[in-house]
Amino acid sequence: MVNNPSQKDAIGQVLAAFEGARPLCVADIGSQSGWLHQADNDPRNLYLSGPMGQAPSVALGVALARPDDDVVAFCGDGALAMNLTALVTIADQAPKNLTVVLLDNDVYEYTKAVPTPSRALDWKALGASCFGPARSFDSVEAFAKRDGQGPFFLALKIDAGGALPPGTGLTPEQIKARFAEALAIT
Amino acid sequence: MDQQKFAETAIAAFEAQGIGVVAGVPDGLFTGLIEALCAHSTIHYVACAREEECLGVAAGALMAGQKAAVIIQNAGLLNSLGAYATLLDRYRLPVPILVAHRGGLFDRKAYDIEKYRATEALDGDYYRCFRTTHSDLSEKTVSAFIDWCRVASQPALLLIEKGEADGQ
Repeated sequence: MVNNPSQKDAIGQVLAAFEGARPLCVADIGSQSGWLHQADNDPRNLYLSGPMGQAPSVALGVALARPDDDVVAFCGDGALAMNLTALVTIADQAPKNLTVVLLDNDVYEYTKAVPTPSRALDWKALGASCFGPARSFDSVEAFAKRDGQGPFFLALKIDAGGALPPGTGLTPEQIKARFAEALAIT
Repeated sequence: MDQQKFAETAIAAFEAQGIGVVAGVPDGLFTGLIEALCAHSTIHYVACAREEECLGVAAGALMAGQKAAVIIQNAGLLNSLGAYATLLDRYRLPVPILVAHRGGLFDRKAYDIEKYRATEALDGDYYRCFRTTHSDLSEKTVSAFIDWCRVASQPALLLIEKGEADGQ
């Protein structure tokens, strides 16, 4: 039996795989935002409050506006399945500074046991189809050894158990304002 | 209005308002505009696979310091209402959305009629809808629309439909 990391630990491992400046992060509503907040509550995080699946699209916008910064989208499997076309758009735009991270536990975490329809999907192969085989990974160790420029896709299996994360306690205005301040946007 | 003139008019307003990113999905009314945006030196056009993505891309660009706009058809707008409410409106993001409003009086195709009616139903207390026709589009109107969003700190819709001068 494989012991998968918790979502919080997986997010921490991904962030540790970036050398240099900490990446700008965009997290999907609910589970990903809550666990990113628990793993590393940084002003450079954009916590989304809907709709599900928008993290890669928002992250693409951030990546285009900030081409010198690394940008990471944290997506759940249920959420990414709702916005799979975003991978097509990202592939076409090919932003070198964007990484899409899939945190895959085969369930909608906020409903606990309700399975996602993507359980049988080969996410790494899907990432390879969109971004190229050399840019798609299924372990943080392999991702840490990436060579060249993005976009990258990283599919990680995570544990489906445990309690839900607490909310971020931040309003959208606060999230937006502190992100702008961290990026020195006037 | 011919496609080239329409494109020049919209792009002049985008330039005047400092728009740096435009995310869109094609419609026949926007063909010339999209071709011109793809060739533009300072405005980056993002060809999205689906309309709801456009709102996300614009939201991200805007929160990262780049002014952004969206161009979509009314059917795609109807697919994107959740993103309009929970992303653009909830985060008070002044994203101007230019909508090809198909199915009106001078644009009578049977498959467009219901999307026109459904879009018309949006024009109420919640959604901010401004209107023009393809032939009447002016730089002043588009520029004022973009600036309205900025001043109001909220998204809004510019519904662009075929007018009498545009032909069926």
